[in-house]
Amino acid sequence: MSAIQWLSAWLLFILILIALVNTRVGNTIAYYILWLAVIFLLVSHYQEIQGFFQAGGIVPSGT
Amino acid sequence: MATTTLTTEDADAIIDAALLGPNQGKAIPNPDSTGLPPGVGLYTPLDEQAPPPPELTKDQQKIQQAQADMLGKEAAAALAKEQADQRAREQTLIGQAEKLLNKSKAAAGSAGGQIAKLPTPGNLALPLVLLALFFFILLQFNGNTRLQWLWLVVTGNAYVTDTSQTSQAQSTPSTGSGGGPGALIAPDLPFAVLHLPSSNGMYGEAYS
Repeated sequence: MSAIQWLSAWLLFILILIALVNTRVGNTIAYYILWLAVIFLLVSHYQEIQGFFQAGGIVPSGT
Repeated sequence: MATTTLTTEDADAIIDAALLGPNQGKAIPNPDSTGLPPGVGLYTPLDEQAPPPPELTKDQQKIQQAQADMLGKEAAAALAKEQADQRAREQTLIGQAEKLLNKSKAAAGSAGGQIAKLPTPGNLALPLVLLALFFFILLQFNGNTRLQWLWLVVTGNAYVTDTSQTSQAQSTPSTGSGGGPGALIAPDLPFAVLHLPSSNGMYGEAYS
């Protein structure tokens, strides 16, 4: 998929989201959809998140 | 052989009776005049009466009386007629369809109202900021997250190169020359600094 297609798809998505947010019901729906996206992101990348809390995840340079 | 003279109306009545069969519709007022045997009925649509108007309940009567008191006789009569028409219309199929449509609209409006009433603590910006943050922290691109790439670029350990030079740059690291949008190439990455628990490569492909 080319960059133009990616950008167009994202632009369309953002425009729809803005239109949705401007309505009373849509605002609430968009709010909870975004929280759902946050949860999905955390669940699908839990290994990376786990890595942040593991000892030795970050070591000083030169070691 | 005796001959009988029939008028046109009598002839029509006999034809109707023959076509519609016996005992249908209402009985003929004077069967002797048509020459038909007694009990033979004719279907006469003109005799059909309109259904009686629906009776008002006590509450409706009270409302009507209150309207009459408030609006005066003429206006109240007009309003009552309009309401009677409305009730009569509701009894038809179209009226019922309208009623159903109105009910569904009301239900949808009510559901929308319920959704709109749900609390949204922290506003829309909160999940948006969190998503953007996690986008920079969690999603990997070419083996590193955006935040890592940003750090590497800021500290001079990575640079942005032209996409057309990507393959060449990956095989033989060259000095960063800048230019248009391209892949992030980090030939001398101090990987010891940041250990990644996993790199699944899902987000590591550059645009083609």
